[in-house]
Amino acid sequence: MVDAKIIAMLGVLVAVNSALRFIEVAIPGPGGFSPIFFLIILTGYVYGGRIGFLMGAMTLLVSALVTGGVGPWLPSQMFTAGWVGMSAALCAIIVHTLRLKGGRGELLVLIVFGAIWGFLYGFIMNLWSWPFIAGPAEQYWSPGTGLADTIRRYAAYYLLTSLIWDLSGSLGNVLLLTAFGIPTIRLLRRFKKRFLFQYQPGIA
Amino acid sequence: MQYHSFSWVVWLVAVLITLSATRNPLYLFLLLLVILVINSWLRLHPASREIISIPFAFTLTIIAGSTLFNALTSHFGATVIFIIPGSIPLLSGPVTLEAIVYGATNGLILASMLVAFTVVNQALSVRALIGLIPQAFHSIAVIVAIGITFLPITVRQFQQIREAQAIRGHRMRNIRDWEPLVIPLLTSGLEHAMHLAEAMTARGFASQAGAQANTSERRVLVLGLGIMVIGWVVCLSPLHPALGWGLLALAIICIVGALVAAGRKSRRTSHKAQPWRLVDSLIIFGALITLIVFIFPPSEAARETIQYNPYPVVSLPGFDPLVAVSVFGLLVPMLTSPLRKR
Repeated sequence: MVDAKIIAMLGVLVAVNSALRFIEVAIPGPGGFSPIFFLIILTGYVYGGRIGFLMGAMTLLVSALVTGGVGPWLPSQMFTAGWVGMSAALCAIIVHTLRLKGGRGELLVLIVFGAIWGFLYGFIMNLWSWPFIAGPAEQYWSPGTGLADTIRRYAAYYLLTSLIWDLSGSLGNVLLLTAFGIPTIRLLRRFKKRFLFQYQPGIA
Repeated sequence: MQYHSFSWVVWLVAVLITLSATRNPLYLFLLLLVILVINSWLRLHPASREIISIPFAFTLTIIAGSTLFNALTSHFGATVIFIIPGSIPLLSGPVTLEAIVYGATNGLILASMLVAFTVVNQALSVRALIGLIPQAFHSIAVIVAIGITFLPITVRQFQQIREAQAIRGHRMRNIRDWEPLVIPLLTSGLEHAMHLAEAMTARGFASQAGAQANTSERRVLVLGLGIMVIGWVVCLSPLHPALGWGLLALAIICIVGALVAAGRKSRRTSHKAQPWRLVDSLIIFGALITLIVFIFPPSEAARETIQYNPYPVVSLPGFDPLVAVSVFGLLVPMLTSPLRKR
């Protein structure tokens, strides 16, 4: 990917989103609330999974570099936020299949998607710290533990430590997508034609 | 800090592996102290970066939180202190001394890791951190550089938009009132991006089109990632651990080879190259000494102290002076005076 237009667009969108994260670090919201995901979701939805992935991963990287937040959690954050943006492209398929484009149904699909990722982000992110915070191998994960048992143990750990925290993250996504979803989608679509055009060599 | 970024990366990796190699609370406490000393020393240095650092109280909170969590949820161990009655999921059951010690040990590891990353965040400038992005990902590095350059501009623009809306009588009462701020901010940002793209094209950015990884390099990369997953799964099985490690080594060779081959196609230039000094070599030497002693202990007795485990019956952790002294290898960055401007 060396298209100057896409690189410049991503760089600037990442800067805007990192500014939102910067505000979040300075004035923490309730629980897992974060203002960055609505733009990651909408970028992935309008521009596709590849740009959505880069938007998510780069937002976390740039904001970590600026706020001094580089740590063992960063790769997990980058990948998970990247998956948020990448999977947002699935919403476009759903909206297209159900012919919901332009209506309230389109926003509803994105709101449900944002609400699910509010929980899923925490569920995936907890995995990196689970082996460190958890207790002895007999009680938590250990080689030889079956898949069902491992999931049961992790689900109990998640319910105890993260459910309430992630609930506020999920509600935050719903709130921001409801408030800014439609105007932001319109804006991103308006710029899509300008950013994603390609020169084709003429036939002599 | 003026040390080479590579020496800090080696220092960080050595700290992380050492922390993962032991559960002896005495060694872990010593490691945490050493890292905290480096952190405090860096704060005195005029060239270190101002960041939101982890305060001492936060470190103690992590240790206390981890101890409490493990004590209440892990009911293994022989030395029962008291019993939580009833049938509360996860919580009900005996609270043991072993669980408390294990929880505190986990807290020490986690807190030390966080402080070690704070050290590197303070020591390396943003430019040096971007420089650590592999050459194969030069497009990513450009995006990151643009993002960091535009961040202060974006914040300034946000303030200008807010002032302009305030002059027009706009008031912030609920979340929808943020729309006249957020949408103009995005619009102006995207307009900036268009101008930037034109400037980049005019300066020949697109001429690097041939620098992309070709199909075979991408295939080797995907193959390496696939082998890594298989090797990891095989490693989890107790039957063929050697085969698993072999596959992981092969995967690393494939991935590094593909990245190096892709990276060679893009030329990296530097306005101000980081010099390599004797002290950088000494930092790596000191970190490697600590790492080697913890991975390959000098004696069986030393190995036993490193592999301390409070379960099933807690005992006093052993202490080997040679292992403890090796931890001071991580203090080598303090060889230069913190108050001397270079």
